[in-house]
Amino acid sequence: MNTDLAPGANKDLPASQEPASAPGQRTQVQKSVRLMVFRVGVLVVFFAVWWSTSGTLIDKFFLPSPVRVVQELVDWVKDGSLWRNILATLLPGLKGFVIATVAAFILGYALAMARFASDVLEPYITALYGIPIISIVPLLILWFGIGDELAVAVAVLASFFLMFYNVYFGIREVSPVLIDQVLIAGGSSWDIAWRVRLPSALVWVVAGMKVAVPHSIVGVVVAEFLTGNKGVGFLLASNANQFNSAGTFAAVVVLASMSFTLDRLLSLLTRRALSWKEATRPQ
Amino acid sequence: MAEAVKSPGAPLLRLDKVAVRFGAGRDVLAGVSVAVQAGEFVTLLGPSGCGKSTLLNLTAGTLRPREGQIIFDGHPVTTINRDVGYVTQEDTMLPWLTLAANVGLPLKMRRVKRDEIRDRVMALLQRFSLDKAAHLYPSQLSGGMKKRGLFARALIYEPRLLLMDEPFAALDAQMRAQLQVEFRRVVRETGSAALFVTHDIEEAALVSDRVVVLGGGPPAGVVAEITIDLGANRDAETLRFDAAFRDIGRTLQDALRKARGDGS
Repeated sequence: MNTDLAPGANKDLPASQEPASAPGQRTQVQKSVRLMVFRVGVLVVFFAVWWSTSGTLIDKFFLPSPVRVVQELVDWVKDGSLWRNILATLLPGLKGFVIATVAAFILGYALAMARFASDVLEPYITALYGIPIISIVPLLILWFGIGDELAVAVAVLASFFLMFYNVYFGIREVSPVLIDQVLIAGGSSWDIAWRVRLPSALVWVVAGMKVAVPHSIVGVVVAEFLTGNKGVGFLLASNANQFNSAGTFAAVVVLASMSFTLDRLLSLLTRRALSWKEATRPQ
Repeated sequence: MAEAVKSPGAPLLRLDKVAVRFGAGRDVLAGVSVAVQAGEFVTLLGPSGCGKSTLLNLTAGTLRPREGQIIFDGHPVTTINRDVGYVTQEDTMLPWLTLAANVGLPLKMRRVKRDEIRDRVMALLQRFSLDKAAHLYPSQLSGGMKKRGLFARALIYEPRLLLMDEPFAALDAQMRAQLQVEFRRVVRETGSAALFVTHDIEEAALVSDRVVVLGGGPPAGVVAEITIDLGANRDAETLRFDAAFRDIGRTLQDALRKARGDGS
């Protein structure tokens, strides 16, 4: 965003004007450390309970020990199948997400600006959104065959509506008073779109992305689960079919790790654009 | 803007027999005529809901009258009026821009050069004692700082008329008194005229050259016009003990009573 009018303003200020004081920073660090300790604690407790119940309270066939799951993961790393399958899932997932986002932006922006058209189309969009993706997969197999195209198509469908609704409401909910103010101050329609509507919608869009990216991955996994011969979904299905619960759990761990990593990457990528949301009053 | 109808000595703004109606209801304003001369400070005073803000919106071009016309600088206002600055009751800072970027936005949109924008923004922020907060986001500013920032944004492109809709309403008494004086001084220095809305009698007397009292109805109309002759430089603390200021206060109070339809 346009924060270029006061370059280096922070550097020029005396210490008393700095947004965060040293004690404030210390408290922040203490909070972060405390949070991290508790998060790690939850993980440790989770694994301890898992480890102690596997083979005692629950049969190892149904709940393998975490050590077995890690061994399975190590084997996949060693034979290279882990990265190969992660990439096989990730690439169509991201392709689908990008296609869905572009389409959602165009349609969401257009409908947010055309109230009558959005009123006309609203029942159809709501009806389409309600269709379970899995019920369309057979149709998609007919159209796209079995392969990457199918995975991409499922990923598009899985993430499109999430992005569409966020773009639509993000653009539509901009305060008309804000728009009038920018127009009076000399803004053009382009200024309204670029300097008001899009930045204003960005919070919604980022929130949508954080849900849509994992959904597009889930879409690919569903396609792989049903038809694939590669990808994490395939790993999941093939291990489950062979009653290898350790392999099935390992595939689930891989999926959870992928979702977590993508979420953190998205946060990192969008942090600068949303830095104003994190800004707090100087003490 | 449509065809010019300017004549020598004509006011900067003329609202001529304006009537406004919202939806299918009755008129909220009818037969309202108000003029503002260049450099003049005019306050619209009246009870809540009498249509004071509506007159500002008509002048800004965000609303059309059902009847009558609005002439600004000799031209009828038929679309958004980009020759005015407008400070509304709401906080209209763009939260994703720093204070400096917010204040400089009108110049950026008017394609002014980057260096010039920076210089003008910093100069104006200094006049409002906001230069140390230039890099802060609106969420990091106090209510008073935000309000001064909005004044600065409305003044940065040197509009000939500043529209202000109860700009001090949400501030505490001390901040309000300080800003009233500060705002009158800075607007005087820029040479702009101002059309100011309030329902506070003391505020109206303190900042204005002339007060137009609206009320009656509905539809509301102009009940009285009172000239405030207290000199150019005004200090709230001194004026409170001034007999002329108290007399004006009483006159405005009577007019406001009449505007409310209170016959006593």
